Amino acid sequence: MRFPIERYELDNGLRIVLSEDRSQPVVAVNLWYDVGSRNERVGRTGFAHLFEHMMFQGSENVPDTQHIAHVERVGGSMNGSTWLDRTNYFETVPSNRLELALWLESDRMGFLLPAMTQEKLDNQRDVVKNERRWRVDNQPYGDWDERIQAMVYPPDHPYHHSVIGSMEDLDAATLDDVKEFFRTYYAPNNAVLTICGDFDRANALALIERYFGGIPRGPEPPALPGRPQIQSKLDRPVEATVEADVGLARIYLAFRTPPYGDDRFYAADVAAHVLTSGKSSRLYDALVREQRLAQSVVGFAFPIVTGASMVVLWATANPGIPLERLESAVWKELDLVRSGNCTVDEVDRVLTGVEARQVIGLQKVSERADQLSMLTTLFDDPELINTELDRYRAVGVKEVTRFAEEYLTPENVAVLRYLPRAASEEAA
Amino acid sequence: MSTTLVDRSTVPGPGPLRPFSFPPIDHLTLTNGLPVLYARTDGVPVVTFSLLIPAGGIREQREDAGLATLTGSLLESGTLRLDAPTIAQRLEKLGVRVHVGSSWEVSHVDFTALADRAAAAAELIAELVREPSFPAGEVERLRNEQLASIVQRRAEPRGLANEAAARFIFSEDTPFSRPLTGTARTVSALDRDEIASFHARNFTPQGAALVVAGNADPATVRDIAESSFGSWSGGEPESAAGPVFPRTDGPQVVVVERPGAVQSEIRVGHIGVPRKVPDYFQILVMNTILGGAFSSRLNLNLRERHGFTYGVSSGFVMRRKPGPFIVSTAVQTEVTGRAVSEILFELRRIREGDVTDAELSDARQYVAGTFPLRLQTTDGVASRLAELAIYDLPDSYLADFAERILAVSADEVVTAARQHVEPDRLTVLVVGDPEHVRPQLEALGIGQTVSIRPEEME
Repeated sequence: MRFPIERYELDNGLRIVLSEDRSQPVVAVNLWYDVGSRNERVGRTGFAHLFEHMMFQGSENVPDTQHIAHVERVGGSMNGSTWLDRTNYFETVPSNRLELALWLESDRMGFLLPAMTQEKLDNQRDVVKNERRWRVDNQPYGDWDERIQAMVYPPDHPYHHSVIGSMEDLDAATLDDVKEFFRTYYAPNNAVLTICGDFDRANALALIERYFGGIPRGPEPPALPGRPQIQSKLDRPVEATVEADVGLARIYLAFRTPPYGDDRFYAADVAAHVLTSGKSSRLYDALVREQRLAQSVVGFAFPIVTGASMVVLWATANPGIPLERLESAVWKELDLVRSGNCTVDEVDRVLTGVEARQVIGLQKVSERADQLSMLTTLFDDPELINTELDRYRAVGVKEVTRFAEEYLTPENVAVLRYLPRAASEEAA
Repeated sequence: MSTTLVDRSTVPGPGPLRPFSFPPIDHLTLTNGLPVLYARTDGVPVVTFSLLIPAGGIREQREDAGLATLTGSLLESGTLRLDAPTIAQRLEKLGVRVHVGSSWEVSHVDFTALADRAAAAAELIAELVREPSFPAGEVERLRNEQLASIVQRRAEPRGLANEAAARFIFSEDTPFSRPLTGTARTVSALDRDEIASFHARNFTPQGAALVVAGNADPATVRDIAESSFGSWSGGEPESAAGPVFPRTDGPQVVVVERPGAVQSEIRVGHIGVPRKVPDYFQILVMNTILGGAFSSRLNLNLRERHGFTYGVSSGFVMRRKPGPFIVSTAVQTEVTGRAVSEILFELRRIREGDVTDAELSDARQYVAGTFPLRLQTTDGVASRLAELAIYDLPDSYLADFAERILAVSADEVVTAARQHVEPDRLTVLVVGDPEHVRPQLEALGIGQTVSIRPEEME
């Protein structure tokens, strides 16, 4: 199966990806801005995400709260999200409403600042602080990624801090910060616009030119702060143990790896699947089914591109199981993979699953549009949506073993342990 | 091309509408009487199968809460011929993930496969459903896993709030008052004999249905269904639990104590309506205005005006019998009382009849327009077919959905609100820091405030 792809670029530098699919009368509009938490300066953690919220607060021609209302009232769905490397905005609408979606997205790309007020900033700051409480502070293990990022990346690396940011930094954000951030990063030459689904090409191109063509190119965005280029391995292992309001003890193992896009990243992803994906995976089979030490295991490679990525594995201990026992059982399985114990059959099963999920997971035009924007933003190559599977297929037992030997080692790991507060007090 | 003269001040209107229609539904009956609902889609060659088995939580006895869930999760643990690791490997070789779940109505076994692997996957699934062996070691292991997940749910504010809300809204002898996955006490007592017996009685084609959605040839679908499930036999399932009662008639306030919590998980609700309620479409539109969309009254008030929360929503959970109507949100501890007060304000206001033309038309368009968005995937289509099968609805429900929604009037919205939103019967439940939350709630004067610790909830 092959998705059709056409690429264009406007004079102002906006990159366009079109992918037609007339099977349903719906169309997805998706914008990736090449800005994420990695671009935040010291003292402003969480700002890229707070700014994303401000993008829903109206623009010159769209009154307060009306951005979302416009989409909902035509029967569309929309959202935005912020991550380490990027911020995305997207809507899926009935295909006869493509123009509305383009009008909305272009109005906030070109004409956001006249609508920004202190009151809106204060309101969204409160909303985001509640989002932080909801996701992180009032949630068992909710701060795991914040802690792991701080352990795996040095203080001057852009991934050292979390996307949600600190309460203090959220409090410190000003309206001037909003203006400066917008002028620095929200320009057509720093964005990719994808349209996927039911549209007429000539009409779509005319509408894009009409609504986005007049938005001036912005200045070249500044280099990333700090020191983005780092070794693909840790200098030394790190560990931390926290007592928290969690029901069961849990251990996280994070290994620094080459970034998404590197050949070795695909080996990392396949290795993570061999270890944790599905009920025939090694850690599930050994820790959950055979030895009954863990209630569950999870693992994945982060698709992030700045300097180095991570493979993160975690295992939640069954009640009464000491975390040290679980920890040494995890290492025993990793030792086996490192020593070449992984089989052709295992790798084949993983690749079969990756392939099937690619077809099944891209049924929605919104999913496809987001992939196309991602591949264009990160690699300037939307065709990867059709060819990335070849990069997975190039991974065999040899590549998995070599990756494990080099990266899944006790020298290259950040270990984070959560212990239930009550239990740890009893033990003390 | 000149772009300077674009008029940005006018909201662009619609282009010509390309209407959406639900794919035609085929009804087949297998030789054993098992009904099959099949919708052929146009997209990629992918097929979703969902087997709906009349083995839901409403067929459990009160002391066996969690039995349906445990029985379902054991299906992948072994059959008369295959052990658990072999089953896992075979499924993964087909690129298939099986999802087994239990709702109150049914236990369901679902998978999505590339079309050319659907026959092999269905055959394997049929074996899991029809001939599980329930190995003793796996029974023990998965019972412990379910117990561990109960520990996790109790430690997590959202899971705890949902469990507690059901417990305080429904009477003790109504199944919906219990968590579907059971409690530590009930699950510890489940044994292999009970599981095997529950399976023998309720995993039966009588009252079951198979739904299939995807881009596959109808004759092929029929052949797959017949060869996998056509010879499945079994008796009538046992009868379902009786009627649904509230725990209390008047309003009540419950604090589930979580000392030191920085946020309060709030649930406000009462018993709602069954799925076959006559004014279903009116209720959907009414709830959309109240709390069923981002631009709903509750969200614009609590989030966009006050900044109390990251989000708030309301919904009627509809089952064969009345499920809960519930408003859910999480707010910072200091504003718990004010947030509850704004929720109560909106619940009263929706009954007062001030629904504007714009609110009505926006809500109707939203519900009607987003309906097709969920039908882009084969599992999205299959879950709509499952709705027909589980609630015994006519096919026309799907075909006419948009038309029925767009016909709802302002008067009908207000009538639905007056009939189904009952501020005097509310349970207000907060999982939060008791020291800070209790005084704020008592000051509202809603009703008696009781406190409970999570470990006191059996």
